[in-house]
Amino acid sequence: MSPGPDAILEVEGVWRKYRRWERRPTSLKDAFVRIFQRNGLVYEDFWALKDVSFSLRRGEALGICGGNGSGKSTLLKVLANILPMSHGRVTVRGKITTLLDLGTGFLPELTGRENIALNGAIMGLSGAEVASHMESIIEFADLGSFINSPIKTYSAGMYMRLGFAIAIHVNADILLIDEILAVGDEEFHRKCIPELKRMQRNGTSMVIASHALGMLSELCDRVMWLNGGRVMMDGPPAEVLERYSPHLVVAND
Amino acid sequence: MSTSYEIHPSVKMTQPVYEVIGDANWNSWNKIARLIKHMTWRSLASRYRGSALGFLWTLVNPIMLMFVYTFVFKYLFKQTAPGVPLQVYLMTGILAWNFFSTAAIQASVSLVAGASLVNKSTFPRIVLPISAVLANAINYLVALPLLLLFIVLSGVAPTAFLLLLPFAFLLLTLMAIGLGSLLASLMPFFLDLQHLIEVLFTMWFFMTPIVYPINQVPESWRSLYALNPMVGVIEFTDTVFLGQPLHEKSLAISLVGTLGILLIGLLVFRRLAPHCTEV
Repeated sequence: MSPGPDAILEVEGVWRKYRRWERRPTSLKDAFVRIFQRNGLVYEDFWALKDVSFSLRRGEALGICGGNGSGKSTLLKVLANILPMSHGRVTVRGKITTLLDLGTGFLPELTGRENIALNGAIMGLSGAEVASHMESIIEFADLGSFINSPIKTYSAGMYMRLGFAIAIHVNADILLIDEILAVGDEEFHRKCIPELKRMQRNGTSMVIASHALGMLSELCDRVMWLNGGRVMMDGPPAEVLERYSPHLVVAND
Repeated sequence: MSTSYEIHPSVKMTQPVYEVIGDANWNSWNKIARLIKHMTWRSLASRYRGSALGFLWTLVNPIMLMFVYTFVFKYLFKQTAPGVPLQVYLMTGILAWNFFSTAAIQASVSLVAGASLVNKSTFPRIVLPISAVLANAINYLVALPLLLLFIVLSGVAPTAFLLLLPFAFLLLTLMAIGLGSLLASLMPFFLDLQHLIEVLFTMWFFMTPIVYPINQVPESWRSLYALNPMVGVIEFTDTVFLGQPLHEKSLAISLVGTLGILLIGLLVFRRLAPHCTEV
């Protein structure tokens, strides 16, 4: 792994600690009472990411596989600086955007259209730039008249479609995707995959965390296998997934 | 998979560094300013959406309070204000206090309320408390012409002190941003703070010369009372709008208090807000 000049994302020795409380104080009252209790403030440190390093080239798509709790989502949030890391270094050379969970950061009471404008602003687009993408995003999301309704009235699939439509229109250099297409119908899947491939050809790098191994091998140039916060393997999708699959079966038993 | 993992001493631990090169927009002031503008208009628009009377609704609350307080303090307690009709004095203070307290309280819940935004996107968190305060600041500005009209109709002539209005406005705004940011960064960790805050603000209201002039505070308590940084701000609004004498000393305390709270608020916010997603 040589982070050459064309590395668009460099991750060096990233550690991420969570403080796991016996029972976390959730209120002032609680915290106050607990100070006077024996074992009231007991916690243990839990490392969700342990010494994760990799680099990503322009246009490269990296898949991340691993069981629940292996650190996939934490890693993506650290890469986007949504969660601070405990140790390590992340260098991003370009514009980064996220498609985490279902949305890219929505306010439920705003309409679809308003959330598009808000997301554009988060991505640093000007009002005019947002306006120029607006119709194209609305068309891709295919929400019909729902586009003018508050998105709290949306189904999970509609949420996904809107998030996806925005994410592919903001011209980011790096797109971080968590559990993409976990919801959404077959037809929308067929629409998304070619769109992601087209973006890759145009030089967009991606980090895709997913349980859907078929999709990882279809979309990614490389797959990284996380287990307990550690990188177990990082290489061509076929090789990594072949080694990972048996673990998956064991884990499910 | 071991959960209680110890870092081996040979592993070199570095301070975390997150760096973005080549995206001039990444958390630039430009982007933050644009988002603050966006969120401020959002909250104003959602407040006025579908109401024909629009901003007049912001005036309903202080006007009703003024009626109640005028009734209670003027006719029951025979309260007076030096040199001006009591209702004018009440209205000036209540509007300023309402702006400050509503702004600070809304800012304090902004990080919790905006969780869906900050947990899933690269949204700069400081935008939330600041835009909550600015939306209220605009409401206050919109109400000011009506306050001035009310003052003039009540027979009080504006003085040259009115030119200091921007300074009074800035003090109120910065105090609300500082306190709002401080509380907002604590709120995700202690949700019951919300209830405490409302009680504390009600107490604070009565510890500030809004419904009574400061000369009614017993002399022996005055120096302790003056430590409340809102005393100078509220007195200053009386100077600005009603030409009441300027109290340089309490204004100085307010100025120092405001800058102190602002500094502490922003520093604590910077330290704690990144961790708000973990709870």
